[in-house]
Amino acid sequence: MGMSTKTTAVLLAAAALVGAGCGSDDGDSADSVKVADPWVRVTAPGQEAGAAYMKITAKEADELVSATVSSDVAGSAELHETVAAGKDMEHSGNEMSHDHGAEDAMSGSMDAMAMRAVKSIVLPAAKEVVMKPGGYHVMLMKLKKPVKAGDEIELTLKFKNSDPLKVTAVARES
Amino acid sequence: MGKPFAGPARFASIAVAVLGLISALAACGSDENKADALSGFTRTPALNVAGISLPDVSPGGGSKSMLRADRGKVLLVYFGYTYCPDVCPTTLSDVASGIRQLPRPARDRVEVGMVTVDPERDTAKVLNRYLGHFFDSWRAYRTTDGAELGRAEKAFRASHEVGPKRPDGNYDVTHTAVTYLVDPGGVVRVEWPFGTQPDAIASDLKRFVPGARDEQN
Repeated sequence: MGMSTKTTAVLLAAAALVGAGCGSDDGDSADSVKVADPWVRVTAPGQEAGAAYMKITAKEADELVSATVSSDVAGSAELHETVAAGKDMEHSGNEMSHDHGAEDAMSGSMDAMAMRAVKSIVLPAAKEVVMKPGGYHVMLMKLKKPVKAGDEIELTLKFKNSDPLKVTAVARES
Repeated sequence: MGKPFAGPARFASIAVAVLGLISALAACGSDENKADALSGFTRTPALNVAGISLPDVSPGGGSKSMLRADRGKVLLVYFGYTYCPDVCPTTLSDVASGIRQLPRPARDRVEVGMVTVDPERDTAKVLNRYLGHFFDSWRAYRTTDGAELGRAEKAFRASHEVGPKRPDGNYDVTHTAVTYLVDPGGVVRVEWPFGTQPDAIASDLKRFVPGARDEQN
């Protein structure tokens, strides 16, 4: 009666393997958040502020909480959004006219535009969040030198529920 | 003498009015105009900024430069600042792309002038280096006189607001991000809101840049 030492060892090993497989250690970061088309806009000589954009899809609901960049690229980086400030100066309906009423969705805002830091960017489950000009962006501050077309800039993205991700943003005009 | 508008004088003035009306209607009703409806916004009555001038710190600029196009050209005016990470580079890049879609000779008839809403950080040197990245030639309007800047903004129905200073001394500026097309008379003929694409800009430019439509590349 009783298990042989060998059997016990095998059973313990099997248990350990199963335990490891079932463990919730955030697992595959490579899978839980996907980043597509990360890019940075080229900057003018002397331009201190830059912007990086990308498309992020999180498998499960998550939040992008920070983006950092190496100090030889910029002094710091911040999550930002561009929004219409809502302070519409004298653009009363009577005064303005516009031929393409129905196509207005993408035609932009006559309002003052504000760019402001955000604490995080919400990533709903399985929904692509597009960071693009006029919307969310990573603001790069105190750029050490101009960003030229083709430059590669590494950003480290930190999430609320997933492991950090390093992405390489390639610089282009637009 | 009697009534000044009786007889031949009256007939003449009516004839002139009728002729004027006919040509105006002809222009409005032409297929050309129907096919190229403007992408940007127009205003009735149109803004007239002919009386506004600001120091132009571009190479070759004058101490006072009127915010209107030289004869035979159009002037695109934009209020912005160089510490702007997203809105200004996007707009200037889109405007530059739009201009590049014009036939080569027409491009020379488009002038671009940026008015800085952040003269504190945007020195002449900074402004010129910035604009030189997007354009071959430009006007760089900069004034440290808040009232003077305010008057210029008011003429365009634009505004700006400097945000709170961060610990590192930097700050954001909220500002009207419209690009205005001004003709030689100082009349704002069309306004492109932030986000107007290069195609739309090029299409509208063809309406106002003399000869842009007819020229071959």
